[in-house]
Amino acid sequence: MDVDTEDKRIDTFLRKTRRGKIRKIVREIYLRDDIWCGVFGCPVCDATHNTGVLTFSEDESLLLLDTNVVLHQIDFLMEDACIDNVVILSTVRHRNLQTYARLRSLCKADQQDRYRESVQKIKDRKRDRGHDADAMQVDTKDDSRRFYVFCNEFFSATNVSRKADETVNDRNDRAIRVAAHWYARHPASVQELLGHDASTASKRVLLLTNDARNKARAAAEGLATMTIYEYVDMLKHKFPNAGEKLAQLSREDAEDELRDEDELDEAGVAPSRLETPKEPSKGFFPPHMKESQIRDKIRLKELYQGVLRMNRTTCFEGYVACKGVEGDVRIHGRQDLNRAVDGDVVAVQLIAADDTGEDDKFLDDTQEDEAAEADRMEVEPAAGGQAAALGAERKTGRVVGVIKRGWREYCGSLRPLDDFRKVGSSAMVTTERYFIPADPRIPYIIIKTRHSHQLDNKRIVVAIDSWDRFSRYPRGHWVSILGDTGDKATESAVILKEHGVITRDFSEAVLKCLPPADFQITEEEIARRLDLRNILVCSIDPPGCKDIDDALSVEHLPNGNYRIGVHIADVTHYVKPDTAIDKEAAERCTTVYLVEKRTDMLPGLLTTDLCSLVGGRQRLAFSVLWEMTPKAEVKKTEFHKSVIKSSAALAYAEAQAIIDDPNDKSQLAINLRILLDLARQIRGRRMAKGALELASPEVKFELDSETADPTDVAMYQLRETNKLVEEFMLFANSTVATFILEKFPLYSVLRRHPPPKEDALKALKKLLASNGFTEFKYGSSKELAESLDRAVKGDDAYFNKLVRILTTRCMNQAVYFCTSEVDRQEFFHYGLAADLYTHFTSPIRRYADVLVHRLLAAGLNIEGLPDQLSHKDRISDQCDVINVKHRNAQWAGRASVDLHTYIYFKKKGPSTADSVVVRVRRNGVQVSIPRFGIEGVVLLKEADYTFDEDKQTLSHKSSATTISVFDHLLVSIRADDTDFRNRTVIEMVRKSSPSEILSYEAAEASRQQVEKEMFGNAQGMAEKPAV
Amino acid sequence: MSKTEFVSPEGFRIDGRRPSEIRTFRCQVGGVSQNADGSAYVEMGCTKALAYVYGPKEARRGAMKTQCGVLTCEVSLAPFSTADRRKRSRYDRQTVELALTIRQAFESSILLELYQRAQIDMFVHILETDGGHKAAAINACNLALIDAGINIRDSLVACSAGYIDGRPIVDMNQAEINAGGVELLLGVFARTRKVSVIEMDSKITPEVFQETYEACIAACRDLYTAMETAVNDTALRLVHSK
Repeated sequence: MDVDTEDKRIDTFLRKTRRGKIRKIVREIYLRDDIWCGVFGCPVCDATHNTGVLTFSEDESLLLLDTNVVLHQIDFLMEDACIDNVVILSTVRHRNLQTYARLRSLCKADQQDRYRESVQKIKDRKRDRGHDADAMQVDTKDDSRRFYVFCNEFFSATNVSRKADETVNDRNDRAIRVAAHWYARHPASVQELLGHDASTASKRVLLLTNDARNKARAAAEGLATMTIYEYVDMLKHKFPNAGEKLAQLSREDAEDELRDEDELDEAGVAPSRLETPKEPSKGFFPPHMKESQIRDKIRLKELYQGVLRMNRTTCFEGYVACKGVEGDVRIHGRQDLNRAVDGDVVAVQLIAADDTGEDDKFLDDTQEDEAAEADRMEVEPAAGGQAAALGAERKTGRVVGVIKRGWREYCGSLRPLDDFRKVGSSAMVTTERYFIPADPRIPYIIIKTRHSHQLDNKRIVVAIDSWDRFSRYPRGHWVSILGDTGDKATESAVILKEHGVITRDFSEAVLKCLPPADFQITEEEIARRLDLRNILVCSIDPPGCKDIDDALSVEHLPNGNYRIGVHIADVTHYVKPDTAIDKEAAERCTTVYLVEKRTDMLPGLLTTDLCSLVGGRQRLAFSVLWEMTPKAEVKKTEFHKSVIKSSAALAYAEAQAIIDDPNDKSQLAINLRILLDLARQIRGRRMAKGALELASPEVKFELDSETADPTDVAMYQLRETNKLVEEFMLFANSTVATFILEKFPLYSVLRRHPPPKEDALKALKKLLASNGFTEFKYGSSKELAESLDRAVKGDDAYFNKLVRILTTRCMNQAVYFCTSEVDRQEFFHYGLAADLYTHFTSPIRRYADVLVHRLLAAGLNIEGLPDQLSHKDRISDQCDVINVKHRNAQWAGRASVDLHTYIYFKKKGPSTADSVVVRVRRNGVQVSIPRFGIEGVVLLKEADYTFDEDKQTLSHKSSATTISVFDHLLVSIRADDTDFRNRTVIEMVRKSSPSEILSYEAAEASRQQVEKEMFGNAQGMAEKPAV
Repeated sequence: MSKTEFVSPEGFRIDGRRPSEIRTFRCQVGGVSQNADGSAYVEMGCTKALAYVYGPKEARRGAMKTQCGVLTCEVSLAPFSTADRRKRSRYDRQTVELALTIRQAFESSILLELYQRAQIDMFVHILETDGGHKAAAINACNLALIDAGINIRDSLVACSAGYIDGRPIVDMNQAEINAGGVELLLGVFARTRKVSVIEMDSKITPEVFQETYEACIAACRDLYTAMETAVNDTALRLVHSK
């Protein structure tokens, strides 16, 4: 119960703490009079405070939204043109802050000004609206809909205190009604002032609510009220497209709603075919447990909680890593998953394991259609992932409740209509359609649309609204259209969106942080820095590189030593902590490279101009300077903010040509030769310590897994100059890592690479032993590196490459971390055999480097340690975000390569080629096809083959063929777009005859040719090796 | 975005105040206790504090100073003052620290050289706290001292301020303090504007400090206006009742 005085209200409520204690919370709310109605031209409010954006007129209602409308219909409200002239009440915020914030973003700061300018224009437009009704999508940028936030909770005239016998929800409903009354009366007085008839005024305030009770009460109190459906219906003649994005509420929710689905059908909507009506008591899925029940049972350890992660290729099987259960809990089958979707936090009940060794299967990733599925309901499409540790017992579970939904927006396409429905369906009739998400982990989603034909063959974005237990599939509504299916740009947009890459344009606020385009470095700035403009500095990068973030220099010192400089673009000079641009970069974390497209972390002005260390221009840099003996021993290390002027931006090939040309005696050539010599020595030392070299032209990713660029990796191996640059960058990174760790033992951001998984390596050793190579050792990275060098099979040129590929598979991911989070012993970088490592050298395209730059600057007392780097929690949260974004960027890059492979084969048509078996499973083999430089899975009929787990072989039951790892198979390759999932399908023809096996050189040449065709105009991937 | 929004784009804090507004300040000067020589009751929003002043009286033997008077202070936080009911010992770190802060603050306020060999005792009871009880305690003491007729150089006014989402907010309530941002406690002399108490645990940049500091000073000025009116009213009432 609340206590009131005239100027404030005291809210008291009980809240359960995380530990289960009950606490009484007392909160005072100050009530004020300085809150305005927001109606344009209101003689009371608008005259004193120019806040008016809303209209109060004869022909237009003032809309007030109930909480449930805001909560469930946010996508609709955000974009539908029929929602205009809206008052957003601050009561609504109580339920869901995020949704509230989204809604409020509609009231733009400059809305008033713009409104005032265009009052007339809007009026005209309203008259014309009937004509441009065909415009499907409301362009939000040119959105002149009017919204106003009315802080009714703080307004003394609309204050509502909770009564003794009232629930919080009832109070909120009442608060909304009170506000509606106020509006109804407030303009009435206005109208009187203006000389209009006051009696009709209240009719022009319309409360939109889907809550039957609230609606009834409002009506009883004399307020005009409608459900959102009624409202949309009413405006059908004016806005034929309205209601397109109305959320599809589940039946369970709909019980509260005024109308349920059936009633909607009567209202002239096509009857639902997909959802056959069932007995209310007998749903398709078992009901979820109640929240309180789940909580109690989790405490009693009868249930477990965890995030559901689906298998990469199916929506019928997933894993939950539960607290309190060792290993993952496997959940398979629709019934056991019980409406949980990838990413949901679920409550799991363990059930008796029926592990039948299904883990050794590849998954067929097509979602079977209804008929086939019905047959298979009993025999669930059980299939296992590859994550299973060999021999470990797997627990099986069942989802009994969803604690928190992890729903996001999904990209995909609509399933084409069956032929007979195509005839019947005409425009403007609501139809239910199946939406096929591009991500196979997500089930089909049913959406309702009146523009079914306009959405066909388009890539669209869909949000899930609900999934009740009577429906086999979740229900949702479409949010936006990305473009035509199969179009390269659209498909790339899908890849970016699905991987959570931020593709929006840089906001106004971000661009405001940029220096002007004609920015010149000031003399004071130069005076503060070490002036290295007179030194010969050059950069070596892939051809066509625009974002050059590193450059090298070498000077002869009188004592015979060299002063080596690594100069990195001084991004942090332009990107100051906690500014809009910094926040944006912190959210993006990395530049994402797709085959044909680059999505920058920082705006173009910085990326390709001010920060890029192009030749002949003076640029700000952060330099690492070493004094080195000719034997590459470091005598002294210094760090400086500097200003440099690069003499030449070379491509790898150019640099190589200069070095190789014996007649070139220029200073540049001499310097490059010195650098190369030193790099060789440093590299030699590093290799001796046991750094791994897993990257090879065939592998699409190198050990550090930081570039997803096949073209680039290939080039990367070709020239020594690549190694030269890489070596110095590695060295600079390690040097910086050591320095910042010393200065900030708890606040540093480093990069570590844990040693590989022991089990996986053991399995690999066994496999190699059965292939006659017994010398495989993996005790340390050094032993492993040596073993890899020795793994050569005389007659097979690919053997070594394959062993390296297989070893790469065993590797863990390298991650960024905050040094206060991890034990000191675990800091080291396994793959590089470096004790300490971080990323310093690419601040233009990686946010981690930006952080390291700031740490280094603080360590040198050039700048203070920013707030973001002086809280452990903040640092480690940021590191987590970077790691996730980084991984997503890699996946996106790979997906892009797959897409181009698909496009290539679609154009070329089916082809056959020789392939090598990399892995054997119960129902198929994984192959690598050297001729095209691709990999894939060949599914085989499980019934035809016997699987030998120990030897990792499949033998055909009738013929005597056995397939084992490293065997050559002749395969056919074709593009397949079932379900709009663009895949490259590989099928076995037979085992290759020796004559069909291409020589290493021939395959290499062919692959390069293919790559040129596949990625012909690739610009995005013109990336530099990741170090 | 799930984070609570402490200042909404409309410019309101979670309790409906604007960033520079203090909570309702109510006080009663004197009349709280008949026993004490001076007493006061202060309310800053939901934070409530009582202060009693005893003295000047002859100092205890051990504590007596010949050059100036002795000031003591004791603070108690009522077990029911916080959301968690908890009994605190007399030697609770939090209260002892606060007592010390208050004593030191008023040692520069009271003209102690006038009270040689004498002792002045201050007792503060925090009845309810919704953030800012330190400031409330100092303000209550100041009023109680005035009520007791102790000679002071100037009124000492205290207020807290914080910095959330890029702007300073004054007189934070508990919910705002729980956000874990900056909390600055400032005690200033009303006329001379000299700072007597300053307390802050967070690391912030000088610019942020400057902003917060200025906002806090302004809030202290608002508080002083309210206190001054209360004292004047009390004095007038006393004059009329005689």
